[in-house]
Amino acid sequence: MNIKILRKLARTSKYQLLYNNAKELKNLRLFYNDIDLTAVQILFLFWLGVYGSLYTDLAMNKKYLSEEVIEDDLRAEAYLVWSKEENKKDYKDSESKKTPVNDTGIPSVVFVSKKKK
Amino acid sequence: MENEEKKKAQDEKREASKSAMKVFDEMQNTSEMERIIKDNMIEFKCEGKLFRVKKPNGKDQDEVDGERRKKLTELMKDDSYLFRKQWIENYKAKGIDIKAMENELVVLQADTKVKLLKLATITEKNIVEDIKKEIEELRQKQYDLSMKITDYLGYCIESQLRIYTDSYTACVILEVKIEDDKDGKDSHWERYFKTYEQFQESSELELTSKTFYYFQYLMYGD
Repeated sequence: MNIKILRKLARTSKYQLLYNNAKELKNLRLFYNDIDLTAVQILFLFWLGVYGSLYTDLAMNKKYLSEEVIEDDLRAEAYLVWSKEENKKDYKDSESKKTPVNDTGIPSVVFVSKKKK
Repeated sequence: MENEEKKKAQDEKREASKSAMKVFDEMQNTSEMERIIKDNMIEFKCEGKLFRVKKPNGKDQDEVDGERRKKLTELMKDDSYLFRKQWIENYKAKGIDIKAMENELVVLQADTKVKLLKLATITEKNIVEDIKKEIEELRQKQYDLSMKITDYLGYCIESQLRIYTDSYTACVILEVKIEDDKDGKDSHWERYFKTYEQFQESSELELTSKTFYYFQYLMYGD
């Protein structure tokens, strides 16, 4: 199968527009069938989602991303791998900075050992 | 001098027609892909008849599962068929280490990831092209190694069962359009090969190859 063509279709403004609007409008459909999707349809939906998020990143002026990168299959893949790694790093950093917060309203229990008399 | 100009003009024409053909091919491939993704059944013509392959429904799936079970029992009764794990052990005894090959694949995958991470942060055209070439070489190595492993394990029960199931499914999902009247206003679809034996013995090579081609899109997406 020509995955290149599938990806090319997924990044076209026609399908990006259809994909975004089909989420909101019930009458707008990407496929004739609503259920029982084929493997290639599922793959197409996956790439529509991927390119949708890439165009969102592009609009947000994300580092290392350009129209040229999106048009190039390998460079787009490289950006996705890099972006995933960056998100992992950011998540780890934010987790390590977090201090435990007691917002339950329940008083904390402090265990104190009994002193010998 | 005149000849040189003529040659140059001819070369330019040839290049222009080549690129026009490329654009035309791309357009054709794109519209073919749009046709394939629009529904969960794909129609195609073959020798004047209209056929379609459709996503198997519950009944089709039950039929395929039943046949798969029968085939597995048959393969397990035959001592000449071994499971993947047994083949790997046998190959190891003969000095061919499949596990080591699989580990090599993991290493190649990791190397590819390193190159991809590098590619993402580079913008200089020359370096970009160099890294892309390196990644493509690594991917080719992965592909060659995967093919080698597939060849070694082609006879294992798991592979044989998958080939059989795919083939049986392809037979079940192929339908032909039957016109009920001369005007073609009334028509219906019916299964083309009534039995798997008919499918196996069929000499309609174009039909079976087109069926498998579209089957791949429906079932595996590649």
